[in-house]
Formats: sequence, structure tokens, C-alpha cells
Amino acid sequence: MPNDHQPPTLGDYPTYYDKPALKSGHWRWLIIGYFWAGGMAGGSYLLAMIAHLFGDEADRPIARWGRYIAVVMGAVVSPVLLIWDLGKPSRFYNMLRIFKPRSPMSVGTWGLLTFSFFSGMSAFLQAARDGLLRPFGPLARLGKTLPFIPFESIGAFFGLFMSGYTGVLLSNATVPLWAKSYKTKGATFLSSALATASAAITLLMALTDNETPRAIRRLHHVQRGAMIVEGALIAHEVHHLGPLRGYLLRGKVAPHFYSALLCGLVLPLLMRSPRSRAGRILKALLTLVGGFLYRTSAVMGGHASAEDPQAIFYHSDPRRD
Amino acid sequence: MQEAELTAATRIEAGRSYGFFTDTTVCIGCKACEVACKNWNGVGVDGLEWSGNSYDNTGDLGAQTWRHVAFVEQNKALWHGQTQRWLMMSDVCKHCTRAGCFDACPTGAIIRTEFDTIVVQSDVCNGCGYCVMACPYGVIELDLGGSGLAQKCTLCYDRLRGGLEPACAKACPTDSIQFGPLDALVERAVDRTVALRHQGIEDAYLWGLDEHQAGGLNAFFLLVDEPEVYNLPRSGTDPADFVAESAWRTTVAALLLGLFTILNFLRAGHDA
Repeated sequence: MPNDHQPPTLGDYPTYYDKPALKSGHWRWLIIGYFWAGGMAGGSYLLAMIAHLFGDEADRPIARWGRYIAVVMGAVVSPVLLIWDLGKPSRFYNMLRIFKPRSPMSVGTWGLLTFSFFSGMSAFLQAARDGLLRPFGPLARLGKTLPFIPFESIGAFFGLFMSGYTGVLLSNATVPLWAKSYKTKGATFLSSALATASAAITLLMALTDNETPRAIRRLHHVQRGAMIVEGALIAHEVHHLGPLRGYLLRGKVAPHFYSALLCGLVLPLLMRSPRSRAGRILKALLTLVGGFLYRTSAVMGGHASAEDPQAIFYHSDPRRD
Repeated sequence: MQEAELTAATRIEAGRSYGFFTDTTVCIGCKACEVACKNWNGVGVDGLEWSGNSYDNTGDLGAQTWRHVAFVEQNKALWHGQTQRWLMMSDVCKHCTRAGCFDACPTGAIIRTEFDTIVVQSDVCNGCGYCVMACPYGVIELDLGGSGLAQKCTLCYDRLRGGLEPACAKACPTDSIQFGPLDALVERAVDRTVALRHQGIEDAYLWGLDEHQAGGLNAFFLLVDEPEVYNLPRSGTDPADFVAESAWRTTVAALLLGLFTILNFLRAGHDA
């Protein structure tokens, strides 16, 4: 009979020639990029809708750039990254055979598809109002007459979905580092997505000189709030990991994790609301890079924990419950 | 008459649960199961390298290896004054009751068959790889060097449909791998464990039948050392069991963050 009483500490389990007991996933830059781009798209769409519905004239640039970022990152970049990642890109449509609530991958596929429709509609209406569709005559007239509200009031929920579901997707796996944070990862990714979306809109407003003091201030407040929530959630997750936090704080993933905290949280918070446009651009870029690095550390830290048999033996030991 | 009635003393019928009972105490490490599996299923070579890990030059289960014989050489105080032993164990897909790969699959490529086994339909799989991260036992893998699709043991689905027992079980010369209906296998395995303990091998136990091993496994094992020694975890989860909680918590967070953002825009804001 196996020993039923004393669980060893992490690192003291017997192993089979130290060979992994799990297969680590193949997720690399394409999927990390998708987590980043898809989250940003969802957050941008949400900000655009709220700026349009609850803001005033001075918030117009937020709505405009939010819509454009949502369609480029959500309806173009995200699907390209995902389909590229499939071993059989030509069979991506097999995802559309079924809808399966127990599979976050299936729910996510349908969510992304729906979000692509809404972000496409919003961008179409915005482009018509911006005069970009003039060569298409009737289409431009249609786009100018259709209102935003019916699309965006529904689409915003799919925007929130896009920002958060990737956390559910990631944490509902047997990979120890991911599985350990299944309760919070969705919220962490959401808050990070809202921060990167605020930064992306701020960046585009600054680069196109299409900004108002009010809009800058609004986005600064949203970004600050989102980053404080994100920081608290990350601190909670690291604490909750127990000894497994070593896969994040030490080894080859650590540089990504610490620079994610520095670029994505500490520096942008210290910069507060920069007065100069160059300062705003720098802060936005730091936030965007930090958001990417955070997702990198989350994904690669998971792989590191899957490759070490100690992690899964420790994590799946019922004697410790 | 089915061939399985002659070779495995069982008639294979749709609607019953089938599985493997692998009795590691009689495994002699001949790897006939590995060869028979590759031969029947047409899975290719995946590296010819000397590992230095006893006689295990196969390494692990994977896209091209659906049976894997593990070799563990031990020097320690054992029963009846013995100090050395050689553990051998033929590992395989566990065909879980609560199968993580099956639940994670977004295309419906992974199915539960009429024999209560888990099979990947290669013409439906699109290589997303989510099943790999949902398997608690490190079995299913993407064939990244070849088709790019997820591959694993099918419990010889085609053979079962033809009334033949799986290739590995048929090839096993010591009946270390036994194929049959799950209820009969469990009965046989319990008897064998009791008999072994009676003979003084008090460490003998069955791994894989408990609820906390992914709801109970159709392929289970008789072991004589800690499960980790054979590269098996002490419990296995189906990640899909946590999706609902994960989802509602994320939904609450989403609504709160949405509300926070709205409040930011409602604030009378001439503060810039």
C-alpha cells in the first residue's frame, strides 16, 4: 500500500528519472499574443461603448479609437493568430461544428466570432461617420444613419467576455500553476485587459493628436483603477500558489514576471498622468509591453510547472487537502 | 464466434465498459505491447536514442507511443531480506470516466465510444492542443512532427468493433496486460491483489479505481510502490469540473469592472 499519511514537500517526491508526468502545451507567442490582443480588443470596445453612452463631446476620441482598436485587434489580429496556431489551419471551422459549454475553447470560439461581428459593425459605423467610406456611396450613407447603441449595448458584454474568458481558458487545465488560480485568473486577465485597452486608446489619441484633456483624464483614472485591481489580484495569486510560486518567481520565467510588474504596474502608476504627450506615449507603451509580459509569464510559468514532475505530484496529492 | 472469445475469454458487445487491467508484478519488460501497438495502429518511430534510464529507451507516452514500458531499478530494503528489484510497467491511456481531454475538446473530435473508451477522430480534430493541457496523466499529445493533430491510444477501437481484443493485450506473453469488461477486470484485479498480499507482497495495491482518479479509470494498474515511482500522480482531475465556478467568478468581476468604468464616466468631470 502507498504511504497514506505524510506528504513529502515540493522537491522530495520520488520521480521517474525526473521525466515530466504531464505533457506541456504548445502555446507560445501566437497564443500569448492572442491573449494580449483579444483582451485589449474587448476592453477597448467596452470603453468605446461607455464613452459613447455615458460620456459627452469631450469623450468622443475614446469612442472612436476604442472602436478601431477593437476591430483591428479583435476581428483581424486575434483570428489570424489563432488560426495560424492550429496544426491544421484549414480545419479551423471544425470549431463551429458544436457549441460546448464545458469547453472554454468552444465557448471562446463562439464568443470571438460574435465579438468580431459587433466590433465590425461599430467600426463600420464609425468609419462611415469619419468619412472613410465615401467611395462606397450607399454603404457610407447606411453607416451614417444606423445608430451605435443597439449594437454596442449588446456587444459590450462580448467585449467583457473577450477580456476575461482567456483567464478561464488558461486556468481550467491540469497544468499546476494555471489550475491553482482558476478562481481568479479571469478577473486578473480582465483588469489587465482594461489597463492595456486604456493605454492603447491613450496612445492612439496622442499619436493622432485627437485628444481632449477630459478624455486623457478619464482613461488615466480607468487605467489606474484597473492596475490597482490587477496588482492586488496578482499578489493574491502569488500568495495562493504556495511553494508552486517558485515557477513564477525563480528560473527562466522570473525575468518576464518581474519586468511585467515593473512595466505594466509600477512604472505606469508612478508616472501618474503625464502632462507631456511624450510622457503619455511612454506610459502607454510601458503598459502595453507590461501586459504582454504578464501573459508571457503566466503561460510560460505554467509550462515550467508542467515540465517538472514535482509540481504535479505536489499539486495532485490528496493527502495535503 | 469472435476472436476475443478465444484470446481474452470475452465477447465484445457495444454498450458495455471495456478496459485494461495492467498487473505490473508479472511484466517482464519485453515491450511486445509497444511493438504490437505500433504495428497494428501504424504509428511511426519517434526517435531511436539510448536514454541511459535502465531499459527504457521509449521515454514516455505520446503522439507516436500509445504503450510505454517503464523500467525502475531499485536498491532498498524489501520483503524477505531482498534488497534489489526491477519494476516494470506498461503504461497506457487511462480512458478516464471524467476525461479532461474529452471535455476540453472544442470540435467534438474526442468521443466516448460504445465501449466506454475515449477516441480522437482524426478527421475532426483541428490540432488546437487544448486536450493536451487538460489530461491529468500526460498521455495525449499533438503530433507536431507529422499531422499536427492530437493522438493517443484508441483502446484499438477498430479491433473492438471487429471482435478482436486490443493488440497490446493480445501480444502480452505474461498476461500482465489484461483486456476485458471493466466489472470482470476489477473482480480479477481485486482477487489478484488479495492473493499477492497473502503471499507476503503487502505493498500490492490497485491504482486508478478510486473516484479521485478522474472519476475512476478504465485502464488501471496493480502497483507495488508509490505511484510517483511509476510516474503516476496520486489523483487526477477533470479541469472541466471547475469551469462553472471559474466562469461565474469571472462574470462577477466583469460586471464590477464594467460598473467601475461607467462610474468613471458619470463623474462630473471638469477636473482636468
